[in-house]
Amino acid sequence: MILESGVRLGPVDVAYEAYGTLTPERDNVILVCHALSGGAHAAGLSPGATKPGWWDVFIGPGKALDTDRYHVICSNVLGSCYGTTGPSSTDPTTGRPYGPRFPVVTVADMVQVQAQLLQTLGIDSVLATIGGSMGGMQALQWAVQFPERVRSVIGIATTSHHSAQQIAFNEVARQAIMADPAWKGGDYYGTDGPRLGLAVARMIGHITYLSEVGMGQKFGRRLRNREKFGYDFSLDFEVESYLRHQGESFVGRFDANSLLYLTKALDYFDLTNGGTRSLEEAFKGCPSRFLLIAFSSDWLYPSYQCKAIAHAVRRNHGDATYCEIQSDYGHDAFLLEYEEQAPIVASFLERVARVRRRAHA
Amino acid sequence: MPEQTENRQAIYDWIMTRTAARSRVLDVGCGDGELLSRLAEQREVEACGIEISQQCVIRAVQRGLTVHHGNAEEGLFNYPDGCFDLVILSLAMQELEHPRNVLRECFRVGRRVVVVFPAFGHWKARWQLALAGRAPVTGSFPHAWYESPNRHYLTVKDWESFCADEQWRFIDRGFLRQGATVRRLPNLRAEVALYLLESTVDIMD
Repeated sequence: MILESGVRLGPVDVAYEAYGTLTPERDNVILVCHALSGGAHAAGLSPGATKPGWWDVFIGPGKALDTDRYHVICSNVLGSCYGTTGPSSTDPTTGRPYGPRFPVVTVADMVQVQAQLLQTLGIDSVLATIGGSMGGMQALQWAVQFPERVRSVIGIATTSHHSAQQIAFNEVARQAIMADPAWKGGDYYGTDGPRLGLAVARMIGHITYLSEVGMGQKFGRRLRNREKFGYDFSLDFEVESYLRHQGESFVGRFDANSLLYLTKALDYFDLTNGGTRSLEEAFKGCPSRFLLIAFSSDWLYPSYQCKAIAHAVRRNHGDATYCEIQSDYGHDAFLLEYEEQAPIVASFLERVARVRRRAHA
Repeated sequence: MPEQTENRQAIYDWIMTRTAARSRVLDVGCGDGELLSRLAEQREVEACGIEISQQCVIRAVQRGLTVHHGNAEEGLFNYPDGCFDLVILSLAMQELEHPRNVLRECFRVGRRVVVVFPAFGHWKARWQLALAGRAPVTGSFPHAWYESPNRHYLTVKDWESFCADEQWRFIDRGFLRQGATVRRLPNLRAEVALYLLESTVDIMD
């Protein structure tokens, strides 16, 4: 494939999972797009696994993405490390991992790969693209890149472009990895790799995923396994323990270079193409229905960013529903606030499917 | 919103009969979308709503409506000029902070506007204020002064002179009391006033 940067990349492997049955008309497909650290395994239990897929609460029989009715597909994004080609994949020209020689990819490239996957599966159009955070960006990108192939778009806790603050947090995460001597310019495969740097990068991420109120409720100033301050730098507070645990467990499951590439893709994401067109122009002629959901305490992807997308769609005489859900969970709310999101998503999809059936009749 | 239990059906019916089939309708303060979903079913309108309460927004989406969750005082600004055939402001105006701004926005985005409001000139309200010397608590104004969502108290006369000032012409008007139509002395006898209006000035200046 030719990437947005003009660089050629291939062959590209794509890992995907599918749930529910495809109708003979192939008109009940929902494409689930995952966030930064997610993968194709969105629902159900893998053999031998103890934890279900990352969005199991949403996907299944009778759930918001009802697999009795819809054919739900989720694929790992380009640049990630869960089966789809990324920096840790083997470069066929050298027989060694790409490492830093992997080309920089964009959200548009991720969508291009998903489109090719669907084409391979014989699916021309989807009922909906849906995702939270980085997944929401892909869902929106679909509407802009393949407007005729997307009946509806559900963007959750997401944005039309990364703001300076969002880029800033990503840059700190990248610097944490690249400052670790074990990163070795990105050629660390076969060694331990930048474990400390990656852990710090993930700790920064987790700070931005929680709200100040949520953190206060979850940890407060509680101490970890001690009655009073240690007056040292071991471990005093519960919140420190939480962040260290999140950092350490991430090291075991994610590739540091993938984090560099994916955060870069997020930072490049801008539906206004650097301000050369308005958001309204970006969605011009796009027939999709839009559902945008934001969370009151999400300060990483503040609600006004989702609201701005809904406004832009409306300025084009398009159809956009917007809902801001009250939550203390911060950005993490898109994975946690099921009870509030589910009826909105389910009803929205039902309506899209109903209109689709009527158009068929 | 005042409950208006007795008048609710009559209000819906009044609006229903004045809504063109298959038109584009915006309900400002749509609540749980009851009116809009009826209009969608019976008039096949393309229905949109604006609503400030999260629970109401969820209910309205469950009814299959397009809804914007937000404050009407800021939410109309992104609909293009004249993009609705009808904008409905039913039992919401008296709770707005800046009703004139929102009404002007309604006339910008809609060709016609329905306004429904509780009429403060009702004799019970006058009676309680004039003779008992108390802030009125009536069927249309059921809340004590300290917990009322209402910010504005207007009479039929107030409204009609305001409409004249704004150059909004009423195409039709109706008055209700206990679910029934009021024909004589509406300013004194109506609990609820209903107006179908259009602007007589070109707002695209």
